[in-house]
This record gives sequence, structure tokens and C-alpha cells, in this order.
Amino acid sequence: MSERSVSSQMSENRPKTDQAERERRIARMYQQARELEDRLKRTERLTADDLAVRVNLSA
Amino acid sequence: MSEAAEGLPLLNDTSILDLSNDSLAAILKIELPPFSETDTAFRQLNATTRYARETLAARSVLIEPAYIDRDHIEDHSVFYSKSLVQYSNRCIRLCFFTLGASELRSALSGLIDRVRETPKNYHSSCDQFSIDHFVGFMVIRPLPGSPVGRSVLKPPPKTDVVCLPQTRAHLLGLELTVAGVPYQQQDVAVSACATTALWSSLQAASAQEPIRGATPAQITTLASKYSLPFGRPMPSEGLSTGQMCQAIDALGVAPSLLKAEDYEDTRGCLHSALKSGIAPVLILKPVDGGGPELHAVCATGMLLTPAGTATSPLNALNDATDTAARLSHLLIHDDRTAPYLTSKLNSAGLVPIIELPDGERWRIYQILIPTHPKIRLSFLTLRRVAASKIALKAFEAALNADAPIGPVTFDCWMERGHEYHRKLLLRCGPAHLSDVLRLGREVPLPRYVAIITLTGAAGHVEVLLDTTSTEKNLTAIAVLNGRTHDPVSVAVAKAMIEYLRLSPARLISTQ
Repeated sequence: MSERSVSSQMSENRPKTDQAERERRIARMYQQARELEDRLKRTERLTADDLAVRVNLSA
Repeated sequence: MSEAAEGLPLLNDTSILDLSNDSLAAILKIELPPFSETDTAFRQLNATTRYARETLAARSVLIEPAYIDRDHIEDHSVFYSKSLVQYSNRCIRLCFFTLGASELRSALSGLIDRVRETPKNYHSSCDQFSIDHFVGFMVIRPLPGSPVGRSVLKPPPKTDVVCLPQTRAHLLGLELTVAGVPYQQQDVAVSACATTALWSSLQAASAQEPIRGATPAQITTLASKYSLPFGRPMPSEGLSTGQMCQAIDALGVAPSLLKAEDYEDTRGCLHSALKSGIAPVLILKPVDGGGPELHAVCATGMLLTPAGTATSPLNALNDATDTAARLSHLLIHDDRTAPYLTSKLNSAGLVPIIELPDGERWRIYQILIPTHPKIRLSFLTLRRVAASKIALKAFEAALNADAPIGPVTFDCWMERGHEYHRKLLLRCGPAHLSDVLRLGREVPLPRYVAIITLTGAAGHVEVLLDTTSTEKNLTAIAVLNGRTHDPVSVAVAKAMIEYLRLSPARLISTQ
């Protein structure tokens, strides 16, 4: 089953412009979700430099 | 005052004082150390007293002149006992009350009489007295240059605080309680800011799990056990974030270190962690090149804009928003200045910034979250799953079910499994009680359950995930529909069941 077929049944009575807008918004959400996922996966990767920063501010 | 209480030395005129603008340093005769000025040497002492007086409306202070403090005893044992000067291992404890001094004497006498007359009501009487009059305590160490030791004060009123470990203060045979995250100042001997922020965070963690709060001496010692990148551990010259992780791990807690690269993600992770009852440590970098030194503080609570406030869609997902968008301020324990600093959370471009009340601006660089070892999902992973998987599917299902085009609002946090079930039992409608009981009977909940809520255009649906699973083998537990009369909510809940490959029996109706 493709990712988008989970809830792919569309209303027959929906106006065409509204239907097009819905499809556009869903497509945009998919695109942005992919970008967000890629970015967060990169953020989750820690490096040795991340663990080496010195925290020592004194009053 | 009752006859019994009159004989107690702690109720005499000198041990209970009205709080005034007079410096407690002067009242307690704390000598200014060499090379110091009053406003810097006693900054934390004065700020904490001012917080108790002005924010918590404390009107009197009860002074216990010989108090044994576990944290100071250990600091004394590993460090101060080996100094040429003989530092005492005794502290002074100051208990703050909302009554004036004479009223407090009468009230304490009355409480002592009541618990003696009706011993079975001892705890309820003490609890009620604490709620009515006790705002917390501050330990004064015999270190004139860094006097503020373990101090537990209530958070500011009207705050959406979620980290509220209970602390008992035994006084005159009475057991008073206060809920708040412990605070102390750094002494730059046993502990610098890294140790102190971690100490506050781990003290808060002990509210959820039966772990003994680590002392600063333990934290610095464990952090320095296998690695000394900056030289000797004491006098403390700071810790690396790797050492901080090492100390957390050695105490049987899992260190979850997150990079704070994006404002929305940082805000979301902080909101989720605080909502989960965890007090995260923030590693801060100076803004505008204020120097190479990083600072650490402990986030202890948050302020939200009122429920129902319109929030902007996310930059990352234009058809979604999150409850974290309501997070406007963090409460910060800063060991250089004061507890519960109301600090604005902001952004400079995409960079998360925190603005302290004195105008200092810091970039949030990393977030260190001590979590239970059984929690394998990080808050960043949970957010990724919630935003890029669950909210996405909910949005699609809602639009396909003819919902008006609008953003899906998501929220995510973690909670003890039994605690979540208790809350569900209390809030579900009578028609759906059997469904909720079925969840408890048929579905074993993990020690911590991850909850993702979907509202706004998606109706009202909750998705439960197993926090002991990992992303590659993520286990969903159940889907809860909070609006059975709403066709959109029904459609989204069914889509979630299908998407998460759950049995239809795992769809639970709650309203």
C-alpha cells in the first residue's frame, strides 16, 4: 500500500477548485514533512565536538 | 502561644523575624570575603530572599542555626574539610512563611497543639499548614563567598510549571512540605555552573522515580572519573557536555543530549520535556561574541499564552502548528543570579535565544535531558515522528473526510503509563468507561508512554507509542478518539489505526 493511499477516498460532491486546493495542500505537507524529517535526522547526529564543549561560566 | 510551645527555643523572639528590606547577610552576620563587594558576593542570597518576599509574599523567616545539609556535608567531606581554615559542616536553614513573625509564632503553637491533640491528623494538619503558610526554605552554607546552599522555594504563582518535586522540611517535630525545584549557587570549588544545573535537574528527576538526588560532590566526581579534558576536577574548572553525560549515566539515568539548531524544534523539545515533568539543562552560548565560555542553567517551568490563543503555523510545516507555539517564557534556575528567572524564549532568525530578566541574551546551544533508561525515544525523535508522520497523516485523513482546510495542531510528551491511565479513567465519559477499562485490562502499558495529540482540523485524537521501542521498530499501543460524534475525528482515528497497523480493537473511544 502506498503511503498516500491510506485515506485516499475523495468526496465525489466536492467542488473542483476546493478539491484541487486540498490536493495541493496535502502535496505541500508531504514535501515539507520530508524536508523536516531530513533536517531533524541530521540534528540528531551528535559528533565528538558536540560532547567536547566546555561549560564553565563562573559568577 | 500555648504553654508547651512557649518553652521551645525556636519560637523565641530572635529565631523568627519579620522579613524586611534588611539584608539577611547582615542579620546572619555573614562576613564579606576579601576582594568582594556586597552586591556581587551576596547576589544570590539577596535575590533569593527578594524572590521569597516579593513573588511568594513571604513575611517572616524562621532561622534554624544548626542545620545538617546533605549536599554541604558531602562538599565539606571531599573538599572543604581539607582546607587550612576550619569550615564548619553545619549550615543555617531559613524557612519562609507568609505570616508575620508574631502570627507565625501563634500559628506554629496552634499547629503543635492540634497535632498533639489529634495525632492521626498529623500529616493532614501539617500539609494544610504548608499549603496555607509555608513557601520554602534556603540553606546558608558557612562559605561567605558562596553562602546559598540547597534552597527549595515554590515556583511563581500562575505559572504553567510541571516540575514540582515535593520536599519535606522537618521543623520542631512538624513535617512541612514544599513543591519546587531545588536551587543553589555555584561555589567554583566543588561545582561550577555545569554541576549545579545538573544537580537541579537530577533533583527534579527524583520526583518521578525513586532515585536519590545526587550531591554536587557526587556529580563532579562521577563526571571526572574517566576523563579530565580541562585538568583537575576540583576546584571545578567546568565540565564538558560529555562529562555531564558521563555523570548522569553513572547515576543510572540516561543522558539525552540534543542540539538546538532550530527555534521551532528547540521550543517543541523544551515544551515536551517540561510537560513530561523533566527539568532540562540548557547549555548556553553568548550571543554577539560575548566570550568563549558556555553557561549551563536548569529550566524548571514555563509560561504559556492562554489556551485558545491563535498560534501561527510552523515554518517547517505550513499546515500544522504545535501546542509548544504557546510557550512564551521559561523559568530558569541560574546559579549566577537567582532561582525561577522568568526568561523570554525568542528567536534570531532560526536560532533559539533566551533573554534573561537583566537583558542578557544567550543562544540555546544544546539541551541535556536526563531521562529514565527505559525511555529509548528522544524528544527530538518523538517530535519528528509526531510532525512528519502522525500530523501529516492526520492532515491528509482530515481533508479527505471533508474537514475544513485548516492546520492540524499536535502536541507530544511522555508520561508514566499508570499515571496516563489514571487521568484517562477520570476524564472519560460514562458511555466510554468500558473502553477505557478495556485498555487497562488488555493492553499492557510501558513504564513511560509517549502521547501525541492531534487537534484543530484533525478533531481530537491521541496516539500512544511505546517509549521502550526504537524508531526502526516503533510500537504503537493504541489510538484514542476524543470525539465520537465528530466524523472528522472518527476518520482520523481510523486512518491512524490503519497507518500504525494496529488491530481495530486498539481504537479506544473516550468521549
